[in-house]
Amino acid sequence: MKLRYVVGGKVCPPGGEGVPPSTRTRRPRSRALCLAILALLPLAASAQLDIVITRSTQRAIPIAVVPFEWRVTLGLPYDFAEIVEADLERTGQFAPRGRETMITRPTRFSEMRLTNWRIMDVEAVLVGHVSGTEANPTVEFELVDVYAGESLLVYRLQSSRDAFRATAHRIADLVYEQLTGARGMFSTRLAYVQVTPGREEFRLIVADADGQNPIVVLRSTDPIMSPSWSPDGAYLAYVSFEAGYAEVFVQEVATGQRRPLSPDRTSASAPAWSPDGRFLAVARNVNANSDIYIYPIDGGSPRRLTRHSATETEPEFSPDGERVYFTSDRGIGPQVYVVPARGGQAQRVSFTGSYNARPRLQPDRNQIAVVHQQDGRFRIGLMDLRDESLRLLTDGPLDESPSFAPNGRALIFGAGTTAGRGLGVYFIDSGVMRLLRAPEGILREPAWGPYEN
Amino acid sequence: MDRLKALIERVARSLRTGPGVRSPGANPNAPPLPMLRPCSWSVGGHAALMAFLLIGFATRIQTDEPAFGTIAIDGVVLDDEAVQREIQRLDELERAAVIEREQEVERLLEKIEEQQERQRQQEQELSALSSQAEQARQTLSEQQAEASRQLSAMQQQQQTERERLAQVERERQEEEERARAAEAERQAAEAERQRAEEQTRRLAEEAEAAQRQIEETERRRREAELAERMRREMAEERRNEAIESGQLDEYKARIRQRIESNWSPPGGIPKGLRWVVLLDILPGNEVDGIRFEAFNGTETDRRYIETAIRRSSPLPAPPIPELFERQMRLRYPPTEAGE
Repeated sequence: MKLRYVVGGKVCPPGGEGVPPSTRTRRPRSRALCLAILALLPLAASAQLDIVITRSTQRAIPIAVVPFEWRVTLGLPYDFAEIVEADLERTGQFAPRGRETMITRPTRFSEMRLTNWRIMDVEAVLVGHVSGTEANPTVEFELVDVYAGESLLVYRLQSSRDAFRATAHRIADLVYEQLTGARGMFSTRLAYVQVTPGREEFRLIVADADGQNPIVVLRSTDPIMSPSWSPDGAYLAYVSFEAGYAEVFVQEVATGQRRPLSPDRTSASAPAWSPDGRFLAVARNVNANSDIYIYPIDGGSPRRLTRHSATETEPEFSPDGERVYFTSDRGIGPQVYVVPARGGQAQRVSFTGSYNARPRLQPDRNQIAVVHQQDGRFRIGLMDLRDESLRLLTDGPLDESPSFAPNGRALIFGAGTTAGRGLGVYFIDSGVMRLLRAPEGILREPAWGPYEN
Repeated sequence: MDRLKALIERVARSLRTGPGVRSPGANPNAPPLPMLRPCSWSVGGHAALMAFLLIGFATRIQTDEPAFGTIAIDGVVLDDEAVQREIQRLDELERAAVIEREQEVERLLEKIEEQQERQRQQEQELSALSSQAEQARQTLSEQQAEASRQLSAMQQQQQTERERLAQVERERQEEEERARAAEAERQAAEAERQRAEEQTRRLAEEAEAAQRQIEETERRRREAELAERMRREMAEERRNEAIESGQLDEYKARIRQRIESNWSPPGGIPKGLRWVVLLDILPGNEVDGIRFEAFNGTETDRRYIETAIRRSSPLPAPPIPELFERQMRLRYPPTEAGE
């Protein structure tokens, strides 16, 4: 027999279950009850407090990324930790403590005094050092859980002079995965279109996930649109207007070699890869009517997937390749529909509002990012496929082209904010948005590439 | 010829006795005294010379005899008379020569005897001197022996005296030793007696103290029991008052808020997560042990729950000490609270 306290603050001594204390105290019986409780004192001593937790608090996890000790005899020290720290901070899920607040700069768990880090209110600390030669240094690092007092991760990576940034992103991936349970996306790449001022030149650009190392893979005086990564990250499909109409091309990223998807050079747009990389779903425009077609990547005949007088466009394969989501204005305004990849009846998916377009599926979760328009503002929304609810993530007013990071924890989109245009990166877990801007021109239609290792 | 032989024997005898002269009174077995030796050599020398002369003479006489024989053979042709005369003359001559020689020998013998006589006298003198020296030596020897005997006797006497003194000293020391031992024994016995007395006294005191302590302990125990009972009753009273006034709920709410503010899984709370944790709480409100009684999440989820709890430690203090509990159960989500 013990006292049990349940949520709501009700006192429930034996025999008094559910009786509010205020009413009980007025009764003469309560005196006798108290005496009865006194008689049970030895038992009451084993009572416990039962506390019900109702929610968590969203906050950035305080961490410390200690600069890695440079033990390479020659060469200028490279600051791996700085890039790792920037990657983690950008997600909004982590709050790295500044280096100037660090009392010590340990290089491994065994050198750490955990109380110092607890005083700094740090939950996790990344320490490491770089050794070997400058051409091929070895980076060793360790992630420490300050409160549990244990090492969460001990790792060694081989780097090379031209891959320092890539190594740092890889470290950030591993730390992110250890701390969040989700795979890191810092080693991935982005593709997007840059339009120079005055629209004299359109560039297809590939860059690191943090926007660094941009490489122009295609230049054109005609518009370039809708880049899409092959699942293995080796190819980009995109639309080029170089022939005077919209045409889908497939280009190998590493070599720059490209070819038109269709031998008959038909007008098509919005290419999307099947998960196995063997097909491209495109919106093909025939007789001023756009429908979804499936093209074999190796040049076979296309298969028509939808047949409707309305405009059907912006296809997207489900992760299992069994279904194709697309935008159709067969109802009132554009909405998201889904159709079996082998063909069949299309079903409407989005119901909130009058404009939900360009669906992109979040990997591993039943959510779809869409462009939602309301009152003239185009915003990115996250739609839950189970309850059809829509959560708006951005403010617009001219946001477009959402694309998920392969881990589904972030999405990138063309941000048309009142403050200017660029690429917006929205981190779903933290609700933090970052804006990538080019020194000149407009960045738009970003596509987040797959995992590359 | 017989006279000649007798002479030779005399000489030979004197020669034999010459070197064999020994001092009278000397030990017959002792060697001759060295101081007499040159004298005997000179005697010997004379004797040898004499013997040589005598022997040479005798030899020549012998060789003459065959010559007479030859003459006798040749004399056949001579007449007896002439021969007889000649023989007579020769005998005459020979006799004169012999006499002369005998006289000569006689003189020599006399000289030798004279010499021997002197020698004997000298020997006697020497012997007398020797005897005197021997006498003196014996006397000295006897004196020395006597002195030695006397010395030995004195030493013997001294030794005896020393031994006697040593014996006396030993006896004295032994006596002292016995006295000391007896004293030590007496002191030890005294100390032992005192110790025994002290022991007895202490034991008695201890027994008394122990008895007092037992009584005191018992009294304190009774008092403590009483106090504890009163304290518990009052504590329970206060506890119930706190419960009924809502203080317990406020206390629990503070703990809940502390944990919730520190629970921040980076991706939010995963859908369907459910956990029950039992905490051991130290008197300073510090969390000691964390045990998951139920949990259906990932390792990452578990880590953020543990971090939330550890960051919240020490937990808010109860408003009154009576509300403190050694264990605390946390659960999520709320829908399972009313089981």
